[in-house]
Amino acid sequence: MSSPVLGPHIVRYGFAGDQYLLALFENTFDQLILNAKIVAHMGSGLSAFLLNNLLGKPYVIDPQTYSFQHDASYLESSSRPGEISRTFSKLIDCYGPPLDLISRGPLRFVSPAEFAQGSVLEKFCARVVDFQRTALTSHSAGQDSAKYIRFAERKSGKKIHEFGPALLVAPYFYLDSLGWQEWLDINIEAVVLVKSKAKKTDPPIAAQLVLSKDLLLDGSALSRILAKYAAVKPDAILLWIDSFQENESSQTELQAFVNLASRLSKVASVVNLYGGFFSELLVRAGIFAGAAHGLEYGEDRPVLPIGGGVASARYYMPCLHVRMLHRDALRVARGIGALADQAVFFKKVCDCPTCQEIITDPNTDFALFGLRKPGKDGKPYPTATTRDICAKHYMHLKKREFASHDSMSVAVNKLRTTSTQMKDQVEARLIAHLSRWIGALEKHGE
Amino acid sequence: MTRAAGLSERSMVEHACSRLAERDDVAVNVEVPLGGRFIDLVYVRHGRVCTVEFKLAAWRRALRQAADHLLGADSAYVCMPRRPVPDEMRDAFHQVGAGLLFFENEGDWPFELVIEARSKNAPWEVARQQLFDAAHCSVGEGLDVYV
Repeated sequence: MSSPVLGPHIVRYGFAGDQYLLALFENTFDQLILNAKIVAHMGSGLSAFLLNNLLGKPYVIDPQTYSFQHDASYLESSSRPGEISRTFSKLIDCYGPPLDLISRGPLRFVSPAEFAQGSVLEKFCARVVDFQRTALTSHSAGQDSAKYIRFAERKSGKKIHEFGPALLVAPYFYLDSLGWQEWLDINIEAVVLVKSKAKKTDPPIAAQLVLSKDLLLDGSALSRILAKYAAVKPDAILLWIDSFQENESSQTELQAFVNLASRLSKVASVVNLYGGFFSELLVRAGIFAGAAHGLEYGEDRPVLPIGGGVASARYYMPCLHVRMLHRDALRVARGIGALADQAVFFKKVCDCPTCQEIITDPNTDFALFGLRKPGKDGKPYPTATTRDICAKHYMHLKKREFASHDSMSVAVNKLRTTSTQMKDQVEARLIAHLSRWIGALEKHGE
Repeated sequence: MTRAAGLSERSMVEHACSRLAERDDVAVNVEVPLGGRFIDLVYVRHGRVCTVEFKLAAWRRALRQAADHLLGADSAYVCMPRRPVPDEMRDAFHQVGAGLLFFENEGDWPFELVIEARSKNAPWEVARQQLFDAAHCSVGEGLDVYV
């Protein structure tokens, strides 16, 4: 049976500013993932963008139902204290009860018990799934962007309703060491309900599993969680470990991550929603069916706060397969003697199209990947150009990595060679993740 | 020599800057950006670019910051109120190549040299020029764009 995951290289649409680069790199990735919040916010404008620029690109909408189980301050408008932000309000309107309880009286969160009453969960599941089916595939003539959609439809010769999501994601909630059993029961029941009510025309059904790092290390809890998902057999599992930074994680955490992914892969096709090169290696090993990242961000993500974040710009160091602060990338480049001249830089650091365009004299031009200017608060923020070239460089490298035919063992051997070669050239902390990755993968292979 | 009792990091920076600014042979500025951080104080004397990170106690943290300053500085220092300097601390400074200063409360030179800065690597010229330029701006003024 073919995988319900339509290609391993998945890119996340973060905010409207991503559109230009998504269109530019359209042919470098397989699928797009969008957050329900932005879908609710942009609606038909987003449809028009997808139709115009990413025609036929499979997409998945993350319904972000976990947003409503936390303190309501996370949903609060920054400009209107005490009120839910407009975007979350739209999503609450779409998803309906029991989320209406959040703003009925003082703001609050919803509890598992409120989903468990009567047919509340069944109706909630129906609305959450219907949102995914229709949010980007229907529009009314009165909407502002209707003319853009009509234009896109004429241009493409296709109709917007032909572009439904590649997966339907059942409502889900975050599981941490406090109270995970109650939310797990809701998550499992949601998968059962969505599967049982699926239409013949629906795409495969995915469960989203969002775990805290402490649960990742709790073997007993994991076994119980896995058994429940194995029993309900979703077509795909979208995995998200809270704030799981592959290059900062210990070997123990990485081993637990690989073990979990491996066991889940026996239940369904698994996608890591926030991953870097370590996840790509698990794709090559056949453990993950896909891994998602944003445009030079989003290789990890905390569950809280929900969305947002300050735009950063880091340099993706190809030989180390990590995004680095510019000053650390500079240390590596200087340490391996890569700033001597252009040819050496291209050989030792990167010869992607962006670096070829930017780097003439690496000793001075490498600064362009780290330029900052003071923000309104006086703090240094990357310039627009720096963000742009860091993101382009990153996307070129991700294209190469996902297109590589190296097996996992070949890739691991390359990491080992890099680690050995650089041991005496750069600070240990900058390459320490390589040996942790190698150790975790070898341990799994034993 | 006078103890710097009762001083805060902020006041040490201000005292040091105002005294250095009065000298003809020194160009000085404060809160100079480099590599996503702000350096407490940068001065140029006899053509050498020096950075100073002020700390009351957390010398390990200051040393990490000084290590970052060495990307652009000929010499990077940590400045603290007078205190004992155990071997572990002295070794750590030597390993990084950063120097240690004690804050002097009086006199036209605000530092007493405790450990000489001896960086193993030349600074990156782009960053060094940036610090040099920033030191020659008016105190409190900064660059529009920087690494």
